Amino acid sequence: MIAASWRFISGRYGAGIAGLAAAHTALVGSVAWYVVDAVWGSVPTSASLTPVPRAAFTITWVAGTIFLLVAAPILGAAAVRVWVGPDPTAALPTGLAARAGAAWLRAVVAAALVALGPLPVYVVLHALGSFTAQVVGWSAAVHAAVVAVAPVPGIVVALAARRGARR
Amino acid sequence: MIRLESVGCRIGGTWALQGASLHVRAGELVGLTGPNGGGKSLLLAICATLVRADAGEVVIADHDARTRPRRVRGAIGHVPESVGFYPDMTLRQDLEFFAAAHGIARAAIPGVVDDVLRRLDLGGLPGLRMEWASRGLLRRMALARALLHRPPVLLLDDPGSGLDAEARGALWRELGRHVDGGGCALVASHDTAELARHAHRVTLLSRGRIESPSVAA
Repeated sequence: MIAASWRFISGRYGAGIAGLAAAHTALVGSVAWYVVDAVWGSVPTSASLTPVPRAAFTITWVAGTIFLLVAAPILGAAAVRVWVGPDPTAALPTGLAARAGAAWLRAVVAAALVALGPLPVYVVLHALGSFTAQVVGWSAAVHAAVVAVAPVPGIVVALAARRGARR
Repeated sequence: MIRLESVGCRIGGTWALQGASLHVRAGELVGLTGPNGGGKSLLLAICATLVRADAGEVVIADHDARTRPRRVRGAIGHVPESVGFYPDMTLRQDLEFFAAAHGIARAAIPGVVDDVLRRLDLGGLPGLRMEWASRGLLRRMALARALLHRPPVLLLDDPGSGLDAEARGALWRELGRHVDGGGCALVASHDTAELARHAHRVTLLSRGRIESPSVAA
């Protein structure tokens, strides 16, 4: 199922997903760079560098979360398979829920890839001492929840628009 | 297999279908004809559970269309008047998708699709994308989708429109094979002469009422 979802969404929107992942990485990377530079810029050059404060991770992570909240509904809308004419599945035993579920799975696969884009930036922040392993659990859980839930409005809007278009 | 008792349906406050009763038994091919707007497509849409009747009883393959629409959908093959399609799929992918949606086992799908492609003379076109399919080809694809899962009941809305003589021949040949195998079919068409040639009975539907109850063809 996941492989089939990936084949569909990458075939149609591979470049878009790569673009969103790159934009996510660029945003998170530039925020992290700005914050770390602001912290270390005030340290005298003669002094040894202190670990980057946790705020650097928090600010970066919040920026990444906001990006995902914006991008995921777009991916949700894109994951709804486009059809021409009346709904071809109208008389199938599988209902609208099955179609929405398939679209959701595709959107989650795509959003997960976009979410994983800036992983190297977070690894560097961890190496600089900005956050501990304990923080990883809840921050990853929140991003996973965003990846799972945020595409839903996009899917609902796209399905409603397609069903409206058939009349 | 198809039992309609005093079926009525209101569209926009007026009765578009009223008091329609029709029985189609196993092994029967029944034609439905009449003028535009007479209610043929609406009657088929009600049988296919796409529209809910406001009055009467609709029973398809022993399932009540109102209370068991999913069971009914599993038992029918429906060719609508206008065929919707996924433009990015090839003909083969389209049929594989619909076969999977009907619950055909994954291992059996290639064989089932090959069989339907061959029976409807679509064997040379499986790689063609649906967006490039002609109107006639779309109708043949709709029939192929309807036959995939070997449903006992076929509901066909103007299936011959846009088809050349050869494709029409294949259509009626398949319908004949279907009813000979114990299935039944309800076919709506404007072409009364063609219906009379192939159907066991023809019913006239006009202004939402069955005018002539199932005249033997």
